[in-house]
Amino acid sequence: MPKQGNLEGGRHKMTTEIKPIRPTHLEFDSEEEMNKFINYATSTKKTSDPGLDRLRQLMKTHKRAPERK
Amino acid sequence: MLTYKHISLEHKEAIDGFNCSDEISVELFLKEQALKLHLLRSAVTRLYFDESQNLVGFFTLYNDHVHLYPSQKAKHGWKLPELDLFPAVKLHYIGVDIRHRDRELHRYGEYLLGEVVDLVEDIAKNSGCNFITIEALPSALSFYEKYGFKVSSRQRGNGELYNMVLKLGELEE
Repeated sequence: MPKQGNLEGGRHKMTTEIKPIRPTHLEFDSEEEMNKFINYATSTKKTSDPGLDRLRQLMKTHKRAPERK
Repeated sequence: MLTYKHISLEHKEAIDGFNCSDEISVELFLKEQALKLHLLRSAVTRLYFDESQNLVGFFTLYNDHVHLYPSQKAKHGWKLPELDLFPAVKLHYIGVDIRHRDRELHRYGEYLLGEVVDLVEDIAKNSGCNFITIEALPSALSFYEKYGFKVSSRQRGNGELYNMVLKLGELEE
C-alpha cells in the first residue's frame, strides 16, 4: 500500500514498497474479458491507437545509446 | 547523446546521489536492490549517463510471463483455450533523476523507454516474447498509456499497482 512518508519541502512524500520479482498474473472479472485479452494477445491485426502510433514513430527515429567506455 | 553502463560497484557514488524523491520506491530500488539482482543475473540494470557523466536515469528488466489467473478459472469454471501463458519481458523499474527532467531540453524518460523497446525487440527475434509488462504506479499510468501500453488489470492485494502490457506485435512493420 502507498504510505505517507516523511515531510520534505512541506509536502508528504508518497512511498511504495519495492516490488519483488514475480510473474504477471492477470485477473479478469468475466470470461468474456479474459477471452478478449486472449484474442488480443493472439491476433496479428494491428490496433489503431494514438499511443501506439507515437511509439511506432519514436522507434523509427530512436538511436541506440552506445556503451560508455 | 546518452551512454549506458551495466550497474556495478564502481557506480556506487553516482547511485548514492540519484534523486527520485517524488517516487521514493524507484530510488530505493536502485540504491538497495538493483546491484544485487544484477549480480545474481535475476534482473539486469542499465545506467544512463549524459555527456557530463551525470547519472540521469536507469531501467531494470527481467524475463516474465503473463499468466491468466488460475483461481478465477477454477472459481467460475470458465473454459480456457490451450494458450493461457504468454512469454514477456518485465520493465521492473525505470527512473529519471528529478534534476534531469527538463522537457524543453530533453526527454530522457521517452528515450529510456525507446531503449527498453529496442532491447526487448532484439530479445524477441531470438526467443519467444509477446509482451513488455509493467507493474505501474498510478502516478506513471499516463506516461505509459501515452506510448501505447494498456492496463490489463489492477492488482488485488498489492495496493495501487496496475498490470500494463505492450504487445510487441503491434510494432512490427
